[in-house]
Amino acid sequence: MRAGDEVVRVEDLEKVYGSGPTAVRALKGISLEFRAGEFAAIMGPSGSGKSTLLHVLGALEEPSAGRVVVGGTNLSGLKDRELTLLRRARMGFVFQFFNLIPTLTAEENVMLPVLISGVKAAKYEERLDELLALVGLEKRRGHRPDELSGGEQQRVAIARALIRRPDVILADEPTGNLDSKTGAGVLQLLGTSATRYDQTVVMVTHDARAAAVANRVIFLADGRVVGEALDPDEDEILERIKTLESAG
Amino acid sequence: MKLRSFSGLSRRNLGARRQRTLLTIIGVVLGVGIVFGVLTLSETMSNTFNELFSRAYGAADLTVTAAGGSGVFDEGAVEQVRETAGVESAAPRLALPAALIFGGEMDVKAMRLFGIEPESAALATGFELTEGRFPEGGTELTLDKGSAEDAGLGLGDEVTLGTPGGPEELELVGLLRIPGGSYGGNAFGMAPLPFAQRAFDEPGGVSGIAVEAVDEGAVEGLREQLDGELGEGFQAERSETRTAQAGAQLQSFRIALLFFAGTALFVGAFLVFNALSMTVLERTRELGMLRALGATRAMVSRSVVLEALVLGVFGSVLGVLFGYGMAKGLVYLFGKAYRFEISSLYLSPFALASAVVVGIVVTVLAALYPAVRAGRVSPVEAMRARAATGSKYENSPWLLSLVGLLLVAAGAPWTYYLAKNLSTAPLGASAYASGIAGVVVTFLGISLLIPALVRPLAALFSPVLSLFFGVEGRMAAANAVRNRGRTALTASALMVGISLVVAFSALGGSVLGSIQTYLDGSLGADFVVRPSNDGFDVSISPELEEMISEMPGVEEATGVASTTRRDGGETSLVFGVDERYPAVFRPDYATGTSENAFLELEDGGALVGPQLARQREIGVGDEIELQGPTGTRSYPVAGIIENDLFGLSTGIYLSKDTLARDFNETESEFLALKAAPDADQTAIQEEAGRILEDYPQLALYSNAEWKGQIESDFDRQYVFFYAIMGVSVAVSAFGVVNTLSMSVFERTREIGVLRAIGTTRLQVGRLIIDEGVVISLIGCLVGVVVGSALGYLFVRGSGAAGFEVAFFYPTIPALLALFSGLFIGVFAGLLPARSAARTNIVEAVQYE
Repeated sequence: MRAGDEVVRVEDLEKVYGSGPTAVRALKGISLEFRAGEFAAIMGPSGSGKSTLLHVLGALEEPSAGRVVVGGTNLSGLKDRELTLLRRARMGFVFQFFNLIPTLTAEENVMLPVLISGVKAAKYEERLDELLALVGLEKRRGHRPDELSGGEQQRVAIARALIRRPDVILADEPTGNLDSKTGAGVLQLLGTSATRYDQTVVMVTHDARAAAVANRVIFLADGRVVGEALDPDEDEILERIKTLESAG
Repeated sequence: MKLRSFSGLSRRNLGARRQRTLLTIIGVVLGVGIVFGVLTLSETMSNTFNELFSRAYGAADLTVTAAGGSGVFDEGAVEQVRETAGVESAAPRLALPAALIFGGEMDVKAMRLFGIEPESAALATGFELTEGRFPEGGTELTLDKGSAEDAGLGLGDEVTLGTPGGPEELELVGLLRIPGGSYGGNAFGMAPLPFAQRAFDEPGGVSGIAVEAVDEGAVEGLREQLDGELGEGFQAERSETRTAQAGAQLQSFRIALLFFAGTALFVGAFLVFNALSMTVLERTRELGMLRALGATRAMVSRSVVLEALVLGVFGSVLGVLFGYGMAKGLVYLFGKAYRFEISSLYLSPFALASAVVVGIVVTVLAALYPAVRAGRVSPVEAMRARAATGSKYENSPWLLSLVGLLLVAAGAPWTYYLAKNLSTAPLGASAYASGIAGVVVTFLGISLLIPALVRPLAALFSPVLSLFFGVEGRMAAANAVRNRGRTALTASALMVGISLVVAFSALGGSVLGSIQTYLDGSLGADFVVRPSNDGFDVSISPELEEMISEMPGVEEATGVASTTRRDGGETSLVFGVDERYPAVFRPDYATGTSENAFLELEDGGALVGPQLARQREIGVGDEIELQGPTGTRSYPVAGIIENDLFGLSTGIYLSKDTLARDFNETESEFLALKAAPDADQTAIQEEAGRILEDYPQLALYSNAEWKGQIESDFDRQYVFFYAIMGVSVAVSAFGVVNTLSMSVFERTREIGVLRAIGTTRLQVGRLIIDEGVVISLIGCLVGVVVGSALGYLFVRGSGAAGFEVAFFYPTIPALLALFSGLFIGVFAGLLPARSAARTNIVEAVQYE
């Protein structure tokens, strides 16, 4: 994957939950492209569909209409098993809470994607050490999640998301539960993945400061894309949001 | 130990959730334990009986008896057998019902006495001598070791034997070892043949000849030869045949045992299913995470199955250990119930392997649905705030109920049909298995119906609960409805156990009640003279019979003799009655039988019980054939007697003279007395006591005493089965604990909020307990209803063919079952209630 190559593309994406009069249309026609080396933030008020968009991008949910193309592969029509294998190979996930398996230690959690793939853990020992150092948790590697702070748990999740060098890293409010200092550290790690390793990072956030770290911000409202900004700073973002809120 | 592979996750989970693992294992342990215990008991019984019978009847190749299997014949036949070519040696024996009297005439133990010839004693019976020798002459006795110990006797001591002529003193000269410890709960002794013939008034009589063949390979040929040469009044049988016939009687008992063990296992499987479902539920987000990370559905399902497999293996191993203890307990109970002591357990590798395999297989099967559910968790669940609760039960109770109704519609008539046929003819194992399948199908059907019943039943209990428990009661009922599927599942497990208890009580109560009604209706007697404990039929000498009949105050007296004839697989119970019988027993004839039918017995006619008539398809005017020492005889059927007291619908009644003439049975085994209206009953009892002083093996019972004894015998035997069923109920109670724990977990946040707004710990605890009570009551109520219906089916089915069994509703067991619902709910709810009450408010409120 070289910087600039298209990694994920969605066309006319729609997602509807339920049916009849109580149906909820979370996505009402979204078309977007994400390239290698991009660090994108998706922002919007609650109910805008940003989490849903993330799920669909990550092949966690299927759209009601529209296409999702990951690395050239059209996801529609793929069976669950194929989707699962694709996720395994190409995606890394960082959730807002409950990222880790409580019965496993930090390092075992990081190694999980490897074990799931059936690859021998030994092959990734070096990479494991490298990542633990990167996220600053070598000394805490043998601890269980209930012995780690919220920030440490997030960092373990990031290390886990990175271990197999996925093409896409999807993060859902990664700094939502963290203080500003820890949050900054997490964002820095995400940024490095994009710039240094040419990975694509897509982050959903409501925090303008976090979005400012990204090099592309996409604004969502009521299930549609209502704006984009490239390399914005925090003030710009806040302005945009205010405009959107008064308009809608 | 660091995680090295995905499958390691399963093991890690088991270790991390110890309490849950323990609870799940208990289900497996109990289920497997019961199965192993029952199988071991079954094998032990079977082996003990086999060994017992094969040894009792000698190490002989063939046994010669009167045609029909028993009866005394002339000892001249022994010479004839000895002179037959191919016969190596022949040992005569005279098998008699005697009694061992000890403890200063206070204790009586029924005894099987063999009169034998000293030279051929070792051939006459296969029991081994442990001390001393076989009797050689005069009045010597060789006794089984167990009885000698009971009586505190040693070699050289004097032994008192009860005979029809009064007590006899013999010298103890030898001790025998009997497999299993006792001869069917009774004593076994050997005495010289002349003594036996004299004491029991059978001059020149023998009842069997044990034959050893010259050529081991030509036994069948020799058998045919002897059969032919000895003529119509005799039969020669291979020893294996007799043993096999005895073993066949055990079959139905063993199958019944297995049925009950099966239900315990079934309930144990429910427990595993419940617990695993709970685990899957708790780990929904974790599972969603694994799926998001790229674990396929199959991988996730497999990990759950793997967990179950590990549980199954551990549980089965522990279960076998528990089962060993259980087997010991069952053997003890069995001994007490049937007065048959088995001293050592027979551990068969088959029982061991079966129990373990069954345990593992059932656990894995129970895990399949939760495993599939686990696989179906979507990756998005990883991000949901609340754990999903949707289950198949919630979505379509109507589809499930429909299937349930269909199953019940199929299973219930199937059960009835089988119960009906069960009593007409001796059925094979496949028929019993089919019957059990019918019951299982019915239960499955009912289980599927329960979800639809949860709401209405909870609504039913709600006012009662709020009466006792206030608002918590109402909330508890609502909570039980909230997760209908889980409530239904738990209640089902309880339902199975309870309904079996009720059904069985119904059957037992009805049989007992009917027998008592019969007795009340047809027993014109006020007193009976019969053996003082359960044992073989004890003969009453004609002199004794006369003495009893002539007691002051006795208006009528009648004696009944009996014999059992075997013809191939068919067994006939034949009773000899005298002309005073109708005065004492008021015969109740079937329509089509003339009022004077009894008189025809004098001319060699017969009366038969209704079930026998149906089984053998004979009616008034047909002839019935029986084999005896004088050959094959046929008797015209004069009528069908409805109140066949002695044969319980399958008896054949001949006149006493006929019995004596054709079967050499001269002595009564049972006397019935009718007192004069103004007689002093106490005086009769005292006088009888005096007369029977020399005959401790007999006793006089008043009607009430006799009925009381029948009842206590019955109850004794039933206790045994109740023990097994009790374990099923206990196992399902664990299921309630599991369910409540799940409920508490799911509602952690809710409980936190309740506590925050001022609900006390006690109130929260009561909430949980009340929920437990609702679930248990649902299970018990449905169980009582189903059990009553099932019991009714059993009773109607078994009565349809013959012996009229009226349905006696088991009121007390049913009420007890209902109350146990209360008790189980409270008991099961204690631990979960405690954990709910202890919820940390802050943690719970933040719980996502």
